[in-house]
Amino acid sequence: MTAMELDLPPAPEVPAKRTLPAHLLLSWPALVAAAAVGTLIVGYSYRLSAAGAAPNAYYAVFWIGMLLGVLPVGARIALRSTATADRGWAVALLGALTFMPKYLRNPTAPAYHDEYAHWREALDVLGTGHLFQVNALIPIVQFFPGTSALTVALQRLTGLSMWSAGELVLFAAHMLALFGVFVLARAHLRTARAGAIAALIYGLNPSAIYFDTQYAYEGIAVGIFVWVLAFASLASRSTGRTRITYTISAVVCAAGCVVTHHLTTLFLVMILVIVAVLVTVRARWTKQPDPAVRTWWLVLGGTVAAAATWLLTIAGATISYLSPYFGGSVKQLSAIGTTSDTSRVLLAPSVQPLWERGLTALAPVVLALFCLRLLLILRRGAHRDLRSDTLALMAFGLVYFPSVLFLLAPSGAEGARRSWAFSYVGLALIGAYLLERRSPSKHVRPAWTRPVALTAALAVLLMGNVGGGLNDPYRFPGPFRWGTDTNSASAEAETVAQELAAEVGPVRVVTDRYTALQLIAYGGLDVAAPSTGFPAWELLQKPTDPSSSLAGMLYTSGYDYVVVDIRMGEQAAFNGDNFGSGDLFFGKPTPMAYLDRLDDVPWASRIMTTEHLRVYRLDLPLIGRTLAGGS
Amino acid sequence: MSTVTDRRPWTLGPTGVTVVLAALVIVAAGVALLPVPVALRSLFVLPVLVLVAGHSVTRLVLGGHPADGILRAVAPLLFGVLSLLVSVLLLAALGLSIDTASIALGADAVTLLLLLAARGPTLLPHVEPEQSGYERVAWVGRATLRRAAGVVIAALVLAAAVAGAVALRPVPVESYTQLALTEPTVLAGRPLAARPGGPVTIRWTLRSYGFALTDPRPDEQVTIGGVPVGQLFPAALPPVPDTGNGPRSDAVSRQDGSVGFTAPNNAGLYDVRITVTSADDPTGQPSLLVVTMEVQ
Repeated sequence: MTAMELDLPPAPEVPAKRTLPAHLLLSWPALVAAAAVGTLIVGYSYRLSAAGAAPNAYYAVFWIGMLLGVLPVGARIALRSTATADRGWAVALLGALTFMPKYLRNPTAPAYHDEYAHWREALDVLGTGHLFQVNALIPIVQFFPGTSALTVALQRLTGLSMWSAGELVLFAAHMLALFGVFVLARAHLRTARAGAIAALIYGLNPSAIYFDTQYAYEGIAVGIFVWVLAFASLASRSTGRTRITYTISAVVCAAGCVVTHHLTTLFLVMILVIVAVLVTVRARWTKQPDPAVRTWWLVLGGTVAAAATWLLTIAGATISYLSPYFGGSVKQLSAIGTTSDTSRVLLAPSVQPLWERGLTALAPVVLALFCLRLLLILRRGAHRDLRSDTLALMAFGLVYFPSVLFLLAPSGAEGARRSWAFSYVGLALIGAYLLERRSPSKHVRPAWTRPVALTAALAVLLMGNVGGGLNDPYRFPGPFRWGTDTNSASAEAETVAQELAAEVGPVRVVTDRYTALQLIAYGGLDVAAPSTGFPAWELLQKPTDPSSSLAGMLYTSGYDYVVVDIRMGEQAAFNGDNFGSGDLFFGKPTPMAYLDRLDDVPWASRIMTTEHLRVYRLDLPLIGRTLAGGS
Repeated sequence: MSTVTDRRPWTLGPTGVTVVLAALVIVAAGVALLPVPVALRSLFVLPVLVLVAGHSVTRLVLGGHPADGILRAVAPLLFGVLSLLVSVLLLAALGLSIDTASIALGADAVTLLLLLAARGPTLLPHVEPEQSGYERVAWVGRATLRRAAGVVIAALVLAAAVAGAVALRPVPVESYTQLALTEPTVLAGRPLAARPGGPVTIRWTLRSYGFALTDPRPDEQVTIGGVPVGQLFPAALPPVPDTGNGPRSDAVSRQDGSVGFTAPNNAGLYDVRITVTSADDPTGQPSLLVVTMEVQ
């Protein structure tokens, strides 16, 4: 392959002189030492949070550690004098640093909601020897076996624990995502520096450090998703056999994405449609044939064919799974204008320090300034230097701004957050283009202004984006706090799950949404998903026996066990509810008398008990019978 | 290893490279099936199977000498991961069980096929591999060694920092007991059956977490319909160490016991409350079980 095949200009890397202090501060020993010390400091912040220290203290310590590690690497990436290979190593170090906080959060076992689901799925695949195992926590996981297949394969080949094997897969995917952006941006903007800067910006997206590094299917799929775009971009800039192999590679990666995660596939199709359409429109508008048109349509066609085949043959349930999120969020967003009942409050009261919340609000502003700058440059005719697909990907990045609005809608908040891992590809291209571009300035500024401004922007994006991602209990370990997915986990619930499964097998259970995570993950139990049509919460949230219809549903469906954590009667759930949106005591503790009541009815026997947990065996046909007095 | 264009001593020709890679893949599958330490499997089996498959696909896609060094370096990881995924999906599609042997052999077969597709021409006698873009590979030079050592040292420093950061976290130990009924009738969802005035025995198991049980005779109390039972026949075996049921279980001790009493003389449904209090329990609270008993 030649440079001409890749349509790359002669390497425009311009080595610049590095001053002695910069040379020392940004040398490899210094970068690695800073990363190591930063890691230890982040670990110390977790120690503080686990011990229940003041949030201001552990947030500050966390950011000292992160900034110490990330800022020098960012500077090394951005320096014009850095060699291409060094940029690659710097991106690798950035990948390690941005993976580290989530790894340290729970290094030995699942802690996030989705992690429990995927960990259980992998255990069940290993236990049965077959993919597509029913998943009680996230039913749709069953139809996307990419994560469980890779985890089980790594676990069997290495002998590591299932959790460590999963973390290894995620680490590889995280690295692949960053390098995918590197290759993508290098193809579009033609320099390794632009590629590395794009990887740096992408590594700061709100999902990169906690959400997409959790053990779940999106993190793995995103790592593959980026490569679809990278290969498609390379193909559209190549000729002959190279173009064909790159196109095939893009479609193969798309197929890998399809079998791994539904939402990533959906975003991939959206991006490909946008790029293909814009490339076509511009080619017709300018009446200049663009060979990229055919490439992007081919990759889109291949992706849609793979997704359609998967949906029609394996994962038909996906459509009904995803549609409520989109329909619901649009309705809720439009309702916000007329009612305040369903609205969310951005940066709602939490333990997150004010300064981090301020930076969270500032991060979109920084991005908006970048985008405004780009628009100004394009208005002056720079768009003629950029190819259609580059402009299309940049345009997709602008989706980030309207998506922020969806944070206000309960159903849309999750989708909005998840869109950022994809729209940030475009934003990374925009940022890299602006930073790589050398424009003669009319104003003479001191030499230090640009590095200082860029370092500040980097810090704001890093801190603000992480602050706008997951909430405090997800980010920081802490003392036991009832009503969080993460910090409500207890050894008691874990051992109850194990003992119950050992004693009676993988039975069907009614319990609250937090205990459910432990019961499913550690016991493989099948936990009820309460809804208005199946109000299983009535067992614990009403002072009366369950209605005959609920009792009938419980009996015929085989929900024979109830597990009660009495801490739901001692404090209100941090997340507000114990049983989802239909909870009868939203924001309040469940009355303890309602929980104790199960000890006084003939249709429930308490068969297991710990300090906080009680397990009942139901005998629902006894409803309506009365207990006799003493002997 | 570094790629060179000129012929030097200690270099391996394209055919030799193919043979060595194939041999490594076969040995890796063999090692995966043997009870060898995790470190060896992680540092040998996994890299060989993933990276050889990835290298082969990279070669098929990019040809012999891709211009982009970063792409050349990273693509083997991407394609290796995808090859492993394809191996497992193929096993599932063929209806084969996904276990150590099938994964090792499946990944091995896929990797060998890819290797053959990518480097097959180097094995043909009438093809001049070096003129077809297949490289000779030189033994590691001093500069390469120095670079590799730097990477290894950096990785070790970072790994040590991660280990240190993990160690900084306090490991909370929850100390509690778990009392479980072991009556098959009740576990099956039926009330405990008794005859009026007949003998009743309820068996239980007490497990301790975070501390060891030493009390040979925990206190047992029973109420029937809210009334304490006067004459009880408590029994308990001495506590024994317990390994627990799960890999992360912290169960320390286990104690099996039972309590016997006489059923009421009148027929009806009764709630029977059994409390077991071990002197070792740090909470100092009795553990309660509640059973519905039908006297008829």
